[in-house]
Amino acid sequence: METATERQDAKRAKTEHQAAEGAEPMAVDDAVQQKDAAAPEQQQQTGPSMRFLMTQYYKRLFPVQQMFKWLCYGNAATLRLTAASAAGASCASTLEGDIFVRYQSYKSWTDLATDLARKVPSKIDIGPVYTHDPRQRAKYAKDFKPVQRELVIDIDMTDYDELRTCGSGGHICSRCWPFIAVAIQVLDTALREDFGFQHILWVYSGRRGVHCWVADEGARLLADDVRASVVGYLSVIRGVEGGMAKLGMGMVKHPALERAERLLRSAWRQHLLPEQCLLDEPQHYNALLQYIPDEELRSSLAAKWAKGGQGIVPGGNRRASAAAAAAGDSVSLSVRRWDELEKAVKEQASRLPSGKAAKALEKSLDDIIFAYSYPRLDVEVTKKMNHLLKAPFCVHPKTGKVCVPIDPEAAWDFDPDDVPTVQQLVQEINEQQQDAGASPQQQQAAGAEGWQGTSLEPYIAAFASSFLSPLAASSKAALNERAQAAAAEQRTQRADVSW
Amino acid sequence: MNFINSAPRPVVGGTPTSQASKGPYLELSMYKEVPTGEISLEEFEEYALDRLRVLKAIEEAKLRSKSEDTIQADVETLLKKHMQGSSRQQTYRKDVLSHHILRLAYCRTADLRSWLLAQEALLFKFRFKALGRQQQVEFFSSMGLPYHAISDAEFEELAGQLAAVLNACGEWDKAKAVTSSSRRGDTHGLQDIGRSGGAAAAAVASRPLFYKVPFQAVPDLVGSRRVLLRAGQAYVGEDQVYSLVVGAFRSCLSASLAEAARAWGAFSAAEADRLAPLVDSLPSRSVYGSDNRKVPVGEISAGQLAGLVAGRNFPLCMSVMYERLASEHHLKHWGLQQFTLFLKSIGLPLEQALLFFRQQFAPRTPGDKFNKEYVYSVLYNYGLALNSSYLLLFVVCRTPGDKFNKEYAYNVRYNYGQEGKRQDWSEWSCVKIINQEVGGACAGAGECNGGCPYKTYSAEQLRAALSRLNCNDKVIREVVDKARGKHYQLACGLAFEGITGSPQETGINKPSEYYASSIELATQRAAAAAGANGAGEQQGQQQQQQGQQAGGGAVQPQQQEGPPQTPAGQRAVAAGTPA
Repeated sequence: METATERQDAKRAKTEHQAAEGAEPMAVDDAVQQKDAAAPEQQQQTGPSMRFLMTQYYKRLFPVQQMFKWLCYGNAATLRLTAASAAGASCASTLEGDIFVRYQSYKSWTDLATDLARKVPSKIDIGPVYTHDPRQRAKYAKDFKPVQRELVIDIDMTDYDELRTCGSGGHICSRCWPFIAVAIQVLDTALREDFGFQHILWVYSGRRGVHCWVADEGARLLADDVRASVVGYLSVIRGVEGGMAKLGMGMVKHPALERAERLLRSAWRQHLLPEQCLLDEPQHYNALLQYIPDEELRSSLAAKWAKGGQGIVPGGNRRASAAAAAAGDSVSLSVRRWDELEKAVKEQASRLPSGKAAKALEKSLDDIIFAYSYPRLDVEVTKKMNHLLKAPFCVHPKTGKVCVPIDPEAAWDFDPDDVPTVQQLVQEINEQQQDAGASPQQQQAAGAEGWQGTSLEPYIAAFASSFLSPLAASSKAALNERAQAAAAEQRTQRADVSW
Repeated sequence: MNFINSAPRPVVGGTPTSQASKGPYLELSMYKEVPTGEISLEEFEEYALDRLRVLKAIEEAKLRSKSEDTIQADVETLLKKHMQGSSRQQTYRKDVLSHHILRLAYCRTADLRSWLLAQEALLFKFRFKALGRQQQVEFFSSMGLPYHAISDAEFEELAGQLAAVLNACGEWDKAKAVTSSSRRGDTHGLQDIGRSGGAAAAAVASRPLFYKVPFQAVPDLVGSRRVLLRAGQAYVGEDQVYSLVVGAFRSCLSASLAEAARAWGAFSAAEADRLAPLVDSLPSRSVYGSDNRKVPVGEISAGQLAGLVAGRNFPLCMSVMYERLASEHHLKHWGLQQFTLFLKSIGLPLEQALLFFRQQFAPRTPGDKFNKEYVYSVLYNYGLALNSSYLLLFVVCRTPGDKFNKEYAYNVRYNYGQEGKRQDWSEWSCVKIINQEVGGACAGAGECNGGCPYKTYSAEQLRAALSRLNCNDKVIREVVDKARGKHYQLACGLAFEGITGSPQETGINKPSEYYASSIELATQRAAAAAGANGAGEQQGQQQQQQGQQAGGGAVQPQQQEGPPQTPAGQRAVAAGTPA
C-alpha cells in the first residue's frame, strides 16, 4: 500500500513538474565506468564479485522511490534539479580507476532506477539544485548556478586520529564510536534548539564517518556565507598545533557551549575515558597532560601513573580496564586517573595566590574535554553549496556497507560493525525469493519492493517515517501557505482596484 | 579651471550641530538617492581617486590582518586625510558623489563588483561603529528594517543567557586583546578592556535593547558566537546592530551594482567622449599618485646602480637580490620580476635595464639564451606593446624576429589583447612581496625567487645580512624580534633606522619608498653639510618663509590656486624666493 501511494506521489510530482516548467525534476551527477569485456570471466573465477553484488543491489534493493521522493521535495514550483555524482563501478581489479560523471538529472524515479541498474555506480553523490537542468548547463553558461542545497555536515574519524587509541585511518570500531555518538548528540541539539531546524537526517557513511543532511527549506536556501557562519558557530577546534588542539573559546562560555559541555562531560566519564582508555598508557596520558599549564602538576601525575600502571601487567592495562568497564562492576583505570587529575588540579588551583591563574588552571580541564570530545567537522563540506556528498543508501565500495540512517536519539547504541552489507542483503533477498518460490519479476509485478523483508527494511522504514513524511508534510504546508498568501494578495489587489 | 560647486552652499535645516543630534546623518549615508547637481570633471576624477585611496588602504590593512581597532583608527585618519571637505556639507557631498562614481566604475564585471562591495561594506561598518551608541540606534531605526526589540517578558526569560553571551564575547575580546597587545606592545588592549567592561556595566545598569532577527541576517555574529541563538532567531544587542545595518547596506549596494551593470551600456554610449573613458579607467588607476612620496625624479643609469647599492640606499630585499645577481649571475622568474619592477620605479629606463641585466647575466648566460629568456620578461615589466618590443628587440638585442615571434609574441598578444591596452605594470608593494610564494629562503641555493627577507630569512641569516649593511647591533636585535612577530614592514622600517641612523616615520609600503627615504635623507644631509659651510642663514630664512606660507594661506588666497602643492613643492617655491 505504501508503495502504491508513493508511486502515485512520484507520478504526481513528475506531471506537476513538467507542467510547471517542462524541465527535468532531478539531476544526478553520475559516473559510469565502461564495462570491460573481461569482467564476466573474472567474476566466475572469484565468485560473486563486488560488481555483481552492486548490480543486484541497485536493481533489486536500493530504495529508489524514497530517495527520489526526498530529492524532489514533493514541491512542484521550486526547482529540484538535484545533482549527484556516482563514481564508476569498480571491481577490485579495475584498471581504469574511477570515472566521475557529474550533472545528471532524472525525470522520474523509474528513470533513475533504470539508469542505476545500467550504470551500477560504485558511489552516488548528491549536489545542489541548479537554476536549470544540469545536463543542459552549457546552454545557460553564466546563468547556471546552484540555488538550493541541504545544509550538510561531514564528520570523519581520521580527524580524531591523534586522539583515538584503538586505530587510525580507515579504522572504525565500537570503541571509537563514542567520539561520533557524542558529536551527533551535540550537533543535533544545536541544529534543532539554536537554529530551529527540524528535518535532520544522520547517516553512517559506510566506513569511518557520519554525514548530516538538514533538509528544512530554510536550510536549503542558505547562502554560502551563512553556511560558513553556521560552521563557525558549531566549531570550537580551530586546528591542531604541536599535538594540541587550538580552542576558539574564552573563559566564559557561550550558552551553546555550556550545553555542549554538559553533554560532553557525561559522555567523557561514561564512554570516552573507559572505552578509549585515554589515561592508561604513558603516550596517551602524556599527550592529554600537555593541556595542563602547571609543569609541576604534570610531572608529578605522570610520575605517579608511570609507577602505578607498570606495576601490575606491563602493557596489559588497556585490556584489563576495558574488561572492567565492560563488566561495569568497577571503575576503569582511566576514569580513576581522571578523578585524580581533577582533584589535583582543583587542589593546586586553590593554592594559587592569583585568582586568574587558578581559573586558567581549572579551565584546562574543560579544554581537555572540548579538545578530546567536541565534534570535529570537515568544514569545507558545509561551507559551499556545490560541494558533493555521498548519498544515503549507497554502498561503500571498500567495505560493502550500506550508508544507513542513524537515529540521533539512539546514536550511542549504533554499532558501525552491525550495519547491513551488500553481500548479506543480496543473500537475504535470494533466500527470501527462493522460499516464496516466486521469480523477481513476479515479485516486482506484485508491487513489492525488494528491500522489504531484508535487514535493510527497518532503516528504510525509519527514513520514511521520521524524515520523509514530516518533510513532505511541511513542504506541503509551506506550499499551501504560499498559495493562500498569493490568493490573499490577489484579493487585496482586486479590492484596491474596486476602490 | 572650473570649480563650479566648490563654494559652500547654504546649509539646509539649521546648523551642523543641530543636525548631529537628529535629522539626516551627514556622517553616514546608505547612498539610496542618486545625487543631482553639477560637478566639474576635475572634481569627478579627484573624488573618485580619493575614495579609492581610502578603500585600498582598508583592503590592505585587512590583508595585513591588522586588528579591528587599529583599522578603526586608521579609517578615521584616512577619512580625515582624503575625504574631508571644507564644510560638513562638502564632506557629505564628496562622500556621496565619490561613492556613486565608483559604483559606476566598478559595476561592469563580477570581480569588480565584489571588490567594491567588500570594501564599501567594510568602510561602512567602520564608519557606523564610529558613531555614538545613540546615533547608531537612531540610524538603525531610521532604516525601517523589519526587526523588533524583544519584550520585557522575553527579556526576563532570556536575561541569564543573554548576559552569558555578552560575557563570553567580552571575555573573549579581552583575552584576544591581551594576547595581541602583549605581542604588539601597544595600548589597544587596555582600551579594549575598558570598553567591554563599560558595555557590561551598562548592561547591568539598565535593561539593554535586544533585537530578534533571523540568524541569516547576521552571519558574522553567528559565525563568531557573539549572539544568543534560539530556534533560528538571533538576539542582537544594541551595540551589535552594526551587523544588521551593514547587512542591509550590502544587499542594497549589491542590488544597485547589478542595476548599474545593466545600465552601463546606455551610459557608455551616451558618455563615450566624456565620462565613459574616465570611469572605465578608474579601476586600473594607481592611487599612489601625488599623494605618496615621490621617488626622486630623474633617470638613473645602469652604471649608477652599483653605487646606490654600496651607498646602502636599497631596502634589504633589493640589495640582497642585487648581490645575488652580481655573484650568481642568475635570478629566478619571480625574483627577476620583483627586481625589474623596482628598478623601473626608481627611474631606470628600459634600455638601461636591458643593458644592466645583459651585463649581469652575461657570465653564465649565453647571449641568445638571455635574449630568449629574459628580454621578454624585462620588456613585459616595462609595459611595452607588441610593436615597440619588436623594435627594441631588433635594436638592442638583435634577436631574430621569428624566434621572438614564435616564443613570446603569443603571450604578449594574449596579455595585451586581454587588456586591450598597454598595461603599465607598477612596482610590487610590500604586501605582495611578503605574500609571494618564494619556495624557500632566498639565501638558500643559488636560486633567488625574490620575496621579503624579513619573512623568508632565518634569524641567523637576517642578522648576517643586516650586519653586512652595517646596521646598528642593538637595532638588529629589534628587527629580528619584529620579523619573528611577523611585522615585516615594521622590521624593514627599523632596519632603515639602524642603517641610516635616522628614523623612518612615514612607513614603508613599497621598496621604492625605502629608497626614496634613503635618497631624501642623503640629499638633506648633503645640503646640511653644504649649509654648515656657510649657507645656514639662508636655510633659516627658508624655514621662516615656509611657515608663513603654511599659516598664511587664507591671507594670500591667490597663492593657493592651482593644483595642491606637496610639501616638497612648497619647499622648492620657498627656496626659489630668496634666490
